[in-house]
Amino acid sequence: MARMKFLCDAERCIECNGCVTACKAEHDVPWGVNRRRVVTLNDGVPGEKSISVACMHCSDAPCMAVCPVDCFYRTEEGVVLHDKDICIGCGYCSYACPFGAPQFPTNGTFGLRGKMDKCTFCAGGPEANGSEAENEKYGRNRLAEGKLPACAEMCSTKALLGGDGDVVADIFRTRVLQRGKGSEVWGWGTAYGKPTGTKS
Amino acid sequence: MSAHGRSETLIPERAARRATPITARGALGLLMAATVAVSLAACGEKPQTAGDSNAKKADAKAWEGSTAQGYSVDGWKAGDKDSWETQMKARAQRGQNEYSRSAAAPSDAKPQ
Repeated sequence: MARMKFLCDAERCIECNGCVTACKAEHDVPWGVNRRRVVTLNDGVPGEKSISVACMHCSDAPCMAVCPVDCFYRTEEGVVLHDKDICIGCGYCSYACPFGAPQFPTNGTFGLRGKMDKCTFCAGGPEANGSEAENEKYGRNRLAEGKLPACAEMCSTKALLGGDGDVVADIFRTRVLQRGKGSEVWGWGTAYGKPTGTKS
Repeated sequence: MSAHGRSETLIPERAARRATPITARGALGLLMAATVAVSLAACGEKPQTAGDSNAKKADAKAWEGSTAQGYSVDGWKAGDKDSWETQMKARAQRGQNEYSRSAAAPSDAKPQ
């Protein structure tokens, strides 16, 4: 099995925030914490594009590299998780993450910063799979129930894909070929841009 | 015998007078030690060495299944890694790839 990955199809995302709602409801995410968010580029302008963003479960995760107490770990499916019993809430991971995935509950009179919370790919945490302790700290463990992340499964337009990286890539590739758009939405040019100095 | 070779036999009143100041001094010393111990107690520090309590816990594998009863879906067997992986792939295809369910599925679609 390849790594578990998310992929958001900007051609399909309609900014409904269904993924955000599904995530919050599934895991009882506290007020002020958004494990997933929808980002819209050129909002209000014809041709605007939206993508759903959460932890990308990086193969070489910067959060993992900078954590001073080494609370992160990676499962054998490539899901980046952390142990809240070890986390000290310093926020280094938040500065390191290019996606703004690490979130900190700011409850209390003085906006006390608590332990970090982030997308778990619906894989819970280090507590026993499906246990009350795991549910309390990290939310549901859907992977251990044979399911995929709630955000991806709930996406009405199937813009957000989640699961085995090879399968997700296959689904997206098939989709791109079917809709007749290729190079501008799939491939090297989209990922890295066109070489400078060339005209197309 | 003392260092001067004289007997140390003291009359009882004199011995009692000598004994009393020594006892008071000792008690004062004890009291001071107790006071210092109590007043410095708050200066103590919890051990901060990373020990077992800070050690990273071993996480159970997802394919080992969930202890929560009634939530697992059918189609795979908990503890069987291969069946879990097959379930994950099948569920992703079934739930997220509408082309695999529709007649318009591009059978000749090949990656560019």
